[in-house]
Amino acid sequence: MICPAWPRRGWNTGSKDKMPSLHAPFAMAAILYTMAWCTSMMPSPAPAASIPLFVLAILANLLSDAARYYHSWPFLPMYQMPFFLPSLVGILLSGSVLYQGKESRWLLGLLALLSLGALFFPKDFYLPFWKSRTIFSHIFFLTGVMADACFIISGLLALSYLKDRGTTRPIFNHWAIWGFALDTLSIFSGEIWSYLGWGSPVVWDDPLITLSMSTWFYYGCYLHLDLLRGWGMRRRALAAVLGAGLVVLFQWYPNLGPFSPPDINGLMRWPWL
Amino acid sequence: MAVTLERIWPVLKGVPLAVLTMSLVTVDLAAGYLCLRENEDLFNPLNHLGLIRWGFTYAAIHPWKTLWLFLLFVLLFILAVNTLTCTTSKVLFLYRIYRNRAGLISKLFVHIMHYALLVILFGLLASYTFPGRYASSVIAVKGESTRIPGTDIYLELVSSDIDYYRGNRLKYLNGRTISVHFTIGLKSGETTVARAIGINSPFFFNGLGFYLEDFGPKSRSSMNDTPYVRLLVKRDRGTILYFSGTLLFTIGLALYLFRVFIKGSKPSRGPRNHGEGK
Repeated sequence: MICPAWPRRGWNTGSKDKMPSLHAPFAMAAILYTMAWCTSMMPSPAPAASIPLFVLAILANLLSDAARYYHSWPFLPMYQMPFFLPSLVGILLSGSVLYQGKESRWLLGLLALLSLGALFFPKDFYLPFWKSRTIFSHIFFLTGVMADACFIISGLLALSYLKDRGTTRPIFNHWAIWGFALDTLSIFSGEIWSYLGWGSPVVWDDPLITLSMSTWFYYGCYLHLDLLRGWGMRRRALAAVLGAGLVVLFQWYPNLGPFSPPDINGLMRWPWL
Repeated sequence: MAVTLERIWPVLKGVPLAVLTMSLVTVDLAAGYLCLRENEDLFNPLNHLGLIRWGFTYAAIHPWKTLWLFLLFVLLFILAVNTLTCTTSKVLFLYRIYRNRAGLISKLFVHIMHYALLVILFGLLASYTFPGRYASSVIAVKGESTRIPGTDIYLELVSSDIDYYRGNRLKYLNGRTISVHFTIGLKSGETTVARAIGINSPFFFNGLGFYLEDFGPKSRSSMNDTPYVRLLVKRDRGTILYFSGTLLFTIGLALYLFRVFIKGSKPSRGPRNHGEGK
């Protein structure tokens, strides 16, 4: 069911209320991520400008996340994962951008693509439903997005490791372990929520559950690769890159909707514009 | 027979089989997503019919659309056998090596997770194979007692406490329910009790779980303002197993993370034995 009062064109479609669009902070974040990426690829000293742009983008993205929660709490903001993911990936790997690490360009490029994808392909806003009013639904959602962020960072660092021909520390493994732990926590919270709300540990109504389980088994498999003969760090790095691709395909992509251009009028109602 | 077992055993308890099985489960679940997305109504009855009845009805009519699920059970069975044999042989090996030395416990953290996974899988199997659901829904209203089919339990709605939202933050919820609390009266033989139920807040009576499926009225301006609740009543035989497994897995995972990130041990599990055990 499409939420009548939380649409893309402001908080009150059709009314005379001139409230700004909820999408505005996120649109701003997407523009800033893209600008930070572009400046990072320019000749020196332009890349230094990518740092303040990145910081502003993260702040705008966090404002968007907070607004989405503010207009749902105590319920769960449904299908909002693509809007939360860039902020978490950015925060967790912010050190790389702030200290101009070698992955910073790739990270900024990834953040720009993730945010632009979410901006132009938003899923319909859904009315929060009563059964999401439990702490377990929020743990399920937030730890799930954090796990996805860790898996994507693991893939990004593995790509950097492969580019350096294995001369750097393979820290991508640690990110994969944290991702697996958070994903496990998310699945267990979902299990408790499902039991309390529907009396069953797995609810077969939501196809996305199978993709969550699929990702969990992939990383369960990944964590066993170090016990296999012939699976050195290089091959495991390739598996981490593949895993990040699967997370984008299995977790991020299904949460997108059809193409829909951002609402310029809604954006212009914000004070700074 | 003994020769065959001797050949199969190393394969059965090997890590390559675990990696292969988990890779296939990943692919199978992705295929399951495509089947589920197009046929949610086909899989929804699995929640209350149980695996056997659902298999002989819905799955029998649509074998191709449900094949991925049966393949998943086969793969999980292989994974369970592999995990059991592999982990047990590894635990016995570690016990022999570290029997009189410190560090045995920390080597076992990861194996706690393996055993916990087995407990969860058995719990889920018990839950879905013997669902024991008494009725798809039991409606309770004030002043009328309803018998739960197949039992001697009668229930009745005693009181309702419905909060309607008023405010600007969640405008779309204005005048609609934000929280509900119902009191249900239950009678079984000479026993009469009252239990509270709400959203995500079930209660248990005589070994049965009572879950809130639906309720009314949902808004202040509702045409029919007579309070009612629709309850799902079921006995889940796997609850203790899968929640015990969940708790055990969480403890094992926490201890493993502590070992890897606080104590700084390598993420790998003890002595390497390429392809011979987890």
